[in-house]
Amino acid sequence: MVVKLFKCSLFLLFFQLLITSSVQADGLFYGNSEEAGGTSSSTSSKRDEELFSTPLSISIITAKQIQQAGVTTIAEAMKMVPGVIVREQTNGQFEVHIRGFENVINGATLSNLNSRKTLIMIDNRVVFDYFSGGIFWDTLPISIDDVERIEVVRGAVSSLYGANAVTGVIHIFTKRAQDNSSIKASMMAGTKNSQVAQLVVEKRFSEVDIRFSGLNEKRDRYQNRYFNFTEREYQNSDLAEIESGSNLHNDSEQAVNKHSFMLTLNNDPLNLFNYDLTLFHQESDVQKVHINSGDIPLTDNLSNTDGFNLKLNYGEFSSRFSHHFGKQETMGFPDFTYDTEISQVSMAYQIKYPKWIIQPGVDWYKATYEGSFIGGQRTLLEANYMLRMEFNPKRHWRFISALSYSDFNAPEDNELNYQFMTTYQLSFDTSLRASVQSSSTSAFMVNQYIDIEFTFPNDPSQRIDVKGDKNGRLTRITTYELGFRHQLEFNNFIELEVFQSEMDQFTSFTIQQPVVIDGVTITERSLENLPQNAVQQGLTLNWLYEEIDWNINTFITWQNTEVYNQATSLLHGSATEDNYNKATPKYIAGVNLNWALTSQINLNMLSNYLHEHSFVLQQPQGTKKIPSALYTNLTLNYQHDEAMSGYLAVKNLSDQNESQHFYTDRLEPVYWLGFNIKFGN
Amino acid sequence: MIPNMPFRSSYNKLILFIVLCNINSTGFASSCDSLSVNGADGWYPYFARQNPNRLGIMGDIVSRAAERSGLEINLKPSIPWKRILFNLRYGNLDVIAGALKTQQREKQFLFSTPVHYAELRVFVRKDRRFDYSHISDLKGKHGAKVRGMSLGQAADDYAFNNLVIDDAPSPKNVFQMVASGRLDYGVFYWTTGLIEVERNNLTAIVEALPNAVSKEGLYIAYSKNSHCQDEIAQLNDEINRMKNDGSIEAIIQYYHSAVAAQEMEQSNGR
Repeated sequence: MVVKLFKCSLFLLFFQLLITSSVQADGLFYGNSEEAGGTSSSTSSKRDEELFSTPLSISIITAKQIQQAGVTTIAEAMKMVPGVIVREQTNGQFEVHIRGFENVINGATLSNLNSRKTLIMIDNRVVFDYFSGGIFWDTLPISIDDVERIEVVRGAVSSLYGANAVTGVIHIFTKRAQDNSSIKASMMAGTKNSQVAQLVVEKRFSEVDIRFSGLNEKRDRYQNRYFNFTEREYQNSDLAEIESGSNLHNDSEQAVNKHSFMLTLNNDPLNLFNYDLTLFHQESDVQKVHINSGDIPLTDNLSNTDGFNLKLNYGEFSSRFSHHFGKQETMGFPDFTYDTEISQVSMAYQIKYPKWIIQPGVDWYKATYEGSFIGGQRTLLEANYMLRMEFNPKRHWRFISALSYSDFNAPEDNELNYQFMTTYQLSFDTSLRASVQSSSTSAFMVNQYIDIEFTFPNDPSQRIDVKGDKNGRLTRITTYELGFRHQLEFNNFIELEVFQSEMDQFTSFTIQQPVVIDGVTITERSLENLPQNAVQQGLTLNWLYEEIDWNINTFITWQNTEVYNQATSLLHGSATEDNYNKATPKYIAGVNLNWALTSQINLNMLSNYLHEHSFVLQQPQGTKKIPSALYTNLTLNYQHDEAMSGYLAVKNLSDQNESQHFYTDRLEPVYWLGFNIKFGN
Repeated sequence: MIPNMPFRSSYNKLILFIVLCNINSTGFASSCDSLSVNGADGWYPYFARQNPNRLGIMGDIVSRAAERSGLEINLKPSIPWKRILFNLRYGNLDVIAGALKTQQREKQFLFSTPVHYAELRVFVRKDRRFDYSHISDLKGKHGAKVRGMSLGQAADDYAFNNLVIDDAPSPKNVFQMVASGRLDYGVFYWTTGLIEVERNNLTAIVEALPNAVSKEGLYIAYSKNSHCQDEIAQLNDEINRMKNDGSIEAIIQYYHSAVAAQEMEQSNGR
């Protein structure tokens, strides 16, 4: 009887949805009094355009959504984005992948689980790390309160932003001064000794808007135990330290200790000549999965960065100059302490004719690293010559091509990245799109230049020699995608993307047969081309429904990744086989429900689901199966008046308090209390 | 006593709730005490809410027509335009004072006959004004309009084939880019545009050229799902009478002279 009642209620619920959805759509995008239809995006076409019409798979997270969901870090905000996998390694330290392609190289080292194929930018400045490729979230000199919006493009977009935008781009836009004069203080405190404090000062001097923001953030880990790969169990930190023979941590309990500030000066961006200068500084000490210790997953990483980002625009001409420098240190691995210096110059122009937009541009990157792991100082140079063209043969139909020729100093072979896309607006409420996109990574310091002889501190008879290859090839992805957006109602939006991606030209450090010299067993690992290629098929469904007092955004991605010619191990000359890749969850889903209980009180629920998956690494790290899990955050915001607000949040509610990564901390609920106060206008 | 009663009861309640949600509100006859009215914000002189006695041209037409036919109106608070359309569709709002008519909307709403027209004009920097008499005069120049805004069918077709017109996210962006010299011109509704120019302190720099690009009809929109259908019909009849007896023209003249007086005051102030 209960089952029947349940089925009956489900049917009625479906019927209810059908009625709501089948109502004729309205002319949202017509008329001056409309809200000028939809959010603006500037990442997918390198110019401002309506989200509904963008040619790529794109999602936008706004500052308002971030505030409603009580999000405390930028990486955590990615939980609101369809097709993105977010794993928390320890309190406040996340790992983010767009559409997966994880652990494609079976039996690689732990650090290979890090996201290396997604480009991240802050205000057009690339903040990707060229050590071995990847996102160092801890080194970003901004806080969540600095974020105006985050645009996430799923797809291969190196033809627009240079190498490494392989599975997509995460583009963070930071806030600019909005008030003539104001001071805002935000304080958040949570369990696990979590504290985030931020101060923002805004002031307008004549035509110049100035904004200063400073951040201080501290968090303790969920547990202070580490998983010992050899013993296959979580152990007290002192035991783990002894096992490794090195002092790997300053403080085993501390997850994050970070300070940063950012100062921006800009005039009105609508001016014919407009400028935007950002100065920034960052210092951090975090535990994360980075250098592969072989004993425990988390290492202690210290970093500091200083730099500037300057944008100068005149009419349709835009230019950007940035330079940042700093130091990265991993405790227990002095060879991998290095200084970095990264300069970037970009110039672009936009030419418009009836039916045509032509965007030529050039980007130039110089990354200089100095450390003993690369035998001193090494420089990677990348010049990208870009041309993007849009042609509208009909009012609602356009073709887009974007080409980028990337010239590297290493490897010697250059790369051509491309996008060919078409969009068709079937009616005012329905758009279709199709694309072929191809992107490559750049060279990385480890892959191209590493030259190190590492003797184990706890066993001097064992030595590993690691050799990079300057001409090691660059991994490439080609993505075919179809997209559909439909406004069922002005408050009811649905989006579907179907994709197939093929990734090849993999390289890895393969293991040669050990040789014994003077009683020392030497194992050489050298960068070699791998024969494998990975093919991913998938689809993402994203649905947004708004009511006056509440809205819901729910999304699900299904994907399947097969790896062909997979080496059975990384031993040189291993046999190959075809494999189903189990490291990317088959289903990735999320729900973001927001409910304004009153004009002052808002309740938000953000849930994320990752289907079961597993990682296979080399010994002694072994394998790890991660069960299906749903994690939920609940946030209650209270807006007392324009000057004062507060929130209460509980995060990581789940029946699975498991590690989301490779034997990193087991997640635990964290309770947060926040308070904001603002003075001035 | 049924052991599972609380559980079953909650499912019964769920079903009852869903069933009730599916029953169209028009299925219940209820009395109509007043007509709920709303309009688009930031659209002076067509709609305004600062002064309860002066609701803009379209707002005043509705309020005078209601007054003349002995109907009470209930002006709803400011909410986003999308929500206004949503409310009208499902009968939570009876009247929109001022809307454009599109094919899609005609399927969902009832419309009055056009009660007024809004002119689209070319806005330029005063030191870069040019002769404008036909849309072809914009050829070779770089302009902008608000994203999603139509110039009218014929002008849209011409613009697509011959002009470079960017889409800007708001009227403020259009006028500021015109003022800064980033654009040769902007296209926007004439009177609303003049007010927007004034609001952004650009009256010394930006002006509207004399000839219109096109004219768009403005309508009163009514809910098809309102339980005040008789009252709506009564209101619409009264609006038609006002059209014939010159009352609407008087309201329009009042606002045009108010806008003109404002302009005069500003130029004297300069």
